[in-house]
Amino acid sequence: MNIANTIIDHIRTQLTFETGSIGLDCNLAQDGRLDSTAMLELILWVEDTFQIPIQNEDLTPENFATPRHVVEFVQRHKMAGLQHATAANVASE
Amino acid sequence: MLLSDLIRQSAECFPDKTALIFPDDSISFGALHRQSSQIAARLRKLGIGPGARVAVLHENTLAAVIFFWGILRSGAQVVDVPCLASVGTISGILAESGPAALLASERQLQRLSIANAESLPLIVFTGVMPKAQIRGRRHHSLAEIIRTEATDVAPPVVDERDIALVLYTSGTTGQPKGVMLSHRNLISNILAVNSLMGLTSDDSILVVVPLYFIHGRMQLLTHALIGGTMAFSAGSHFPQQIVDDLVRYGVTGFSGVPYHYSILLERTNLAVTSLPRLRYAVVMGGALPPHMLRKLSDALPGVDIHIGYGQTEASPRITNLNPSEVHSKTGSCGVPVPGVRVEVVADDGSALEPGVIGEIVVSGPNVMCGYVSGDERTSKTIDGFGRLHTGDLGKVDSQGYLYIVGRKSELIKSAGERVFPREIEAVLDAHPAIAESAVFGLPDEILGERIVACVVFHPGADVKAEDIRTHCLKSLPLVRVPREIHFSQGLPKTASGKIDRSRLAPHFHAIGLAKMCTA
Repeated sequence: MNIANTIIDHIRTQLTFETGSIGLDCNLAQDGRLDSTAMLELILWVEDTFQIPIQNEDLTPENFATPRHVVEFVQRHKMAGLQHATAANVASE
Repeated sequence: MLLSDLIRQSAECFPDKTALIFPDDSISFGALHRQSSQIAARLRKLGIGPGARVAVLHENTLAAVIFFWGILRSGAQVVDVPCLASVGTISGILAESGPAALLASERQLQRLSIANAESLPLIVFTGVMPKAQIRGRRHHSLAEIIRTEATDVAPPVVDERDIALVLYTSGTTGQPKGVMLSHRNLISNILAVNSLMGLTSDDSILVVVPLYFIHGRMQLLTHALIGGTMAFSAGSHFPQQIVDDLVRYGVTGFSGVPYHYSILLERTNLAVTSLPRLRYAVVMGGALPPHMLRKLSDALPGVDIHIGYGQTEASPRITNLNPSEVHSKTGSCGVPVPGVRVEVVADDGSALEPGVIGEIVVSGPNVMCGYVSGDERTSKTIDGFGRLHTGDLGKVDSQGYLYIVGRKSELIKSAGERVFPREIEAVLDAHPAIAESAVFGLPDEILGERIVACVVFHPGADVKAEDIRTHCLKSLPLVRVPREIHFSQGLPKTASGKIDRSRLAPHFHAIGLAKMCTA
């Protein structure tokens, strides 16, 4: 399962029960799909599942408003982690 | 005085002043009064006025607030329906309250029309005309009403003792209870609280709570009373966004439940943020642990911290602890607000001496008119003296300060929400693999209390915790879904075979139940 499907599946089955589908651009908070406790759970789940240390300043709509924002946030951090690991390998060689 | 007078008076005094700020919208008091009068005019034309009810199923938006005031201006009663409730619960609320019309957001309308279109009233209002209309229903939109209706509408012919607002809150049986509050209930309470807070038209507040709860409605009513501006947070779901909004709007006030303060202290830079205009913060809906209260005081130096105790049935405020006493009267929720009487009583209803623990009962003009279901007396929530039995256990000290020490009922307060175990157990027990279940609360640093379930499976059942959670989410919003689900071979029972709730938590600790999941 790719990142987007993993995230949407978790939201759909573990944070809310939607009779309709949840698309990549559904506004999770403004449309009333998730309350604030559910949003916090989503953030903690992302931190745990994708092994991303989430800072307080990351907790913004720009990173978590829609599934697409979450996917992009995860991809950015995975890319940054990869670059960091590559740089560390080069330095050690 | 009626509730609709609040907005009329503010519109007369401050016509051009900003009343409401939303992330992408704002409105002055004058325009708010005009547009809500147009809503009232349309409602009257539709035969909706005094004695009728209009349900509001809407997230916090400008349209929802305009309609709120419009419904009151027409003389009808507002029925607040929790947006996060399941379609089944919402349908039940609509069936019980019998509204003549419904204001719904497009998303909520879509949810209801897919799952249970029959539950919709014949008249449906929306902010803008929905993309797909529901057959057999008359649709009206705010946009069209503002274009076409006149702004002059006669004041409603209602009495201050008439019902203004119906709010649905958790009930012991698992069914939400419709709490009926009159104009007098609510106005007496906002005047009482404001006599302590001393808010003026220079005050403003950042709103992070839903308007369909009494907490949100009181902020709306209080700021209409004083002519103060309300700014709705762009991201009340995102802790740091709340802090950013406190800075951006430069509000003088903030009100939240302990959950809000916990996440603001733990997951934001609140402590290092300069908030020179912030004057006060109110903690409602539960107790903030003393060390968190200290942390809050340190994070907000110079900000007055008020602690309040209330419940929807009391419109809601019962007591207030003044900022100067927050650290000297640790654990107290203060003294009764003006006009409200608090007693601590024994099981026979007789008053107890200071220091003795009993049930907290309340009397005064703030006590609700009753439940929509009409069972406030048979359920003994209102006694023969007209006193409200809160279900909370407490004591008063020799100076009259109230301390809450527990609950007579099995109520769980999680993230500021009232949750009764039977509601959750009914959902769990409907799962085909579950033979029986018991739900209780355990202390939690962030949530106040977290909901814990012990489940007993039928022999041979093979089910994952995630499946049970998904099952619960079909009927419950996440805030009511157990954070922990534990498997047990059996549950403690009374001699008559009922679940012994007093032994649940000890049972849980004693046998170290196998945890299936932790949310």
